[in-house]
Amino acid sequence: MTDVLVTGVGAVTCQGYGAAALQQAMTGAVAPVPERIPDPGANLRHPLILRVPGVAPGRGRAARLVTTAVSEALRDAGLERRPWPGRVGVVIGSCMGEAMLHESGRCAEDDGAGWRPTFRLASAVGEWLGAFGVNTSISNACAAGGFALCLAADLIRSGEADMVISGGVDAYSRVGWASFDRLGAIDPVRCRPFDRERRGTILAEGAGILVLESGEHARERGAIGYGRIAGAGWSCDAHHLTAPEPTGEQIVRAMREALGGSGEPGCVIPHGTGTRLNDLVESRALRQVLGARTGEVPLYSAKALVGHTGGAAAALGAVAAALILRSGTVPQNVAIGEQDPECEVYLPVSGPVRLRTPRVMVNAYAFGGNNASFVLEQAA
Amino acid sequence: MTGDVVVTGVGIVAPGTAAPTGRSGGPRDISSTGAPSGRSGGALDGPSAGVPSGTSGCPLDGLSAGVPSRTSGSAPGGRESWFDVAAELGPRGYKYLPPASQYLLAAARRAVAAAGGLEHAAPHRRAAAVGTNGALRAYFDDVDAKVTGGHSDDLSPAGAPYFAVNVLSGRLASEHLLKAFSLTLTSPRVAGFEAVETGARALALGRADVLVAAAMEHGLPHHAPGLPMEQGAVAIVLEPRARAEERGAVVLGTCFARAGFAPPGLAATSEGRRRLAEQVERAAAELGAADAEVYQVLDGSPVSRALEAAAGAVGLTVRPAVVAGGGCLAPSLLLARSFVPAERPRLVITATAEGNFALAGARPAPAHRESRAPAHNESPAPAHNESRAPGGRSPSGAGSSYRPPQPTGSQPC
Repeated sequence: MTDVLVTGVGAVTCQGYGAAALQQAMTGAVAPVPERIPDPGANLRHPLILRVPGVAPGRGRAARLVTTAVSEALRDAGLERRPWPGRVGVVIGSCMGEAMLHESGRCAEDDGAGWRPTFRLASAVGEWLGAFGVNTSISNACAAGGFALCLAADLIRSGEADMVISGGVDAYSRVGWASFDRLGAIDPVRCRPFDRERRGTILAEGAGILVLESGEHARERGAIGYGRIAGAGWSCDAHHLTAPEPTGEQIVRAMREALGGSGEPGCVIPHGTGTRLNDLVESRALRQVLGARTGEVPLYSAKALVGHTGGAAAALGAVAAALILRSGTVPQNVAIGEQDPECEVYLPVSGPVRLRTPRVMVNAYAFGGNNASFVLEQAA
Repeated sequence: MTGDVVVTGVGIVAPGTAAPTGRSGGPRDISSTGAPSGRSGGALDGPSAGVPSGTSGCPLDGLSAGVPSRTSGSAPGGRESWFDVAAELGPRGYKYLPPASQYLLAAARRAVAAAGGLEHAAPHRRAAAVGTNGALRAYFDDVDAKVTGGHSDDLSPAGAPYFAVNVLSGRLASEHLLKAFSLTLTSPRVAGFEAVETGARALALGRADVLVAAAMEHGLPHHAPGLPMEQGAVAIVLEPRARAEERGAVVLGTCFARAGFAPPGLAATSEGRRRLAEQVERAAAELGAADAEVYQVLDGSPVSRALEAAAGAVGLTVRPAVVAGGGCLAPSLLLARSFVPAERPRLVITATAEGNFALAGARPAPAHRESRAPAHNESPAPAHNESRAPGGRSPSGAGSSYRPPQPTGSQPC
């Protein structure tokens, strides 16, 4: 089977610009402090956000986040010079797209265009890159970035592309934040997955991008990869619009499919949003998959550090996984009050731990019961 | 790579074509404003596998043209008068779903019934891939108004999950126990074709044994000013040929889709023209039918013009361009209606100003093509709201060009 390598990463989060900033934040393990949404129209119970700093107001906020991350990922992959050889695709996941285009008072209402599609972020990246080739927008809510990466890997494995720039992005949208608020899914304190006192999540802005290449393509240009996509599993609960299926049957299936015959992971980056039921179901599902080793496989809870970035979440999880693979170390998690005794997972908080097995599994779950798991492992 | 995937069921729900019980065949009913009106009509005829009848001869029958006013086509509460939710879906549990969700469920029910059900595959081998651009725009308008003018507490908690468009696909998955996966594609205008392409690829890679590929939209006039309004849904059941034949399913034909991208600023360059020509030629070769026709859903953008020029060179019969609406439904509707009795193989192409373009080919099964009544054996008339330049394209495909959409009125087929 065609090898799919990760040869470049880019990240934009509330912790700053660049994978280096993310790495530094991971090492520091300091919880970010949510701020009040700077939108006078956001009349919410908990108008909290973890914003990407320094983005000028105006149209196309999500596009600016994602193109910034793409730019970094290309530099990281040594792909500054164009034209690139081979067939290049773009697959971007986003829950909300450029929703601000249609929200009152958030941008110029009418630029004369007859139709302004919301999900134009992959198109924006393609136009910015001048890239002919596959260009796909996927909107599987908070798992969108994970599905995007899996689709990108499929494109390479099926021989339809040699290289795909893929990941996820979401920026502030009044509708998205308000809907989460109405669902009672916002923690008024901070994002604290697996904490006994967790009360929901904190929505955040962010973009995570990975450059995926076929092994042959990467080797031909002498690229050094972070690792390879070793497996991917998809499933759908077909159960409830928002709540996970309580037994976790389908998320277990997705994880097992992703792990395939490659054995257990050395680290798991869980979906772990901080909502009560999701963290509980995921913990129990992990115990089903990891069995007696559950207490030995460290989790790295990325959302405690960067918030819940929606469609970017799994892509940023993948960036974190790449950084963990390269360093060989699982950073300590952002400290929580007291771990929920019902969430029986290993969440190191007192210091970094060695990555015993060079294989990291990333979980991505979403409203609509959409589940994706994928595994990054050290390339041979 | 999409492997040998066949179509075993098609379902269409769109203005003037939806009917809970009757067979299609009645005249299309379009109000003077261009809005659909009156009762639902039949999209599908009965047990012969849910083939859209297309009796009016217009492949875009049911999509309203022009600029209908909201009130002319909408029931109280923003519900569209052309769609009878209780008759289509049942008296309970569906009334308050977003309209696009209702259309999707109704279209999928028809497609699944036509395919003989999905029980031949275990739930974890059934999948969904749904394309949309604006399924929830009306909901977003409503939420935004309530939050800016009031408070998030004013939102219905039952409606709040619908900020995420994939929830509509999830509702479809719940109804048919589609547990293999559920994908929601949203690329401008080509998302419906991407649902077919992505779904077929996933089938070929063994991620599922059967898939419902769909497109849905619920556009309102102000969402795409001056463009045809898109409301409705299309669903197509896809499965590997070997599996369909093994279970004795009626194979309606084959279809494929290929989506691509041409940077808008580069579409008219020699490189852009070359790339687009390659895509069209490849799709035409894949279709492999000298008698095929090319249908176009275009928006007058540089990418559309470049694609149209490329299509003109393939040697197939090229139909005049249909004006694209604000969504991805029109191309998918053309694709779904390609399985009309005795229809010729069809290549549908579409593009958008953002740079996305796509091509989809449909080839009805020979037996299916030959077995239908002559009454259905008519070529589709020029599609509604078609645009032809003076001295425009002949059926042979020579010398046409795009003309911007007219802001008012409709042109019945």
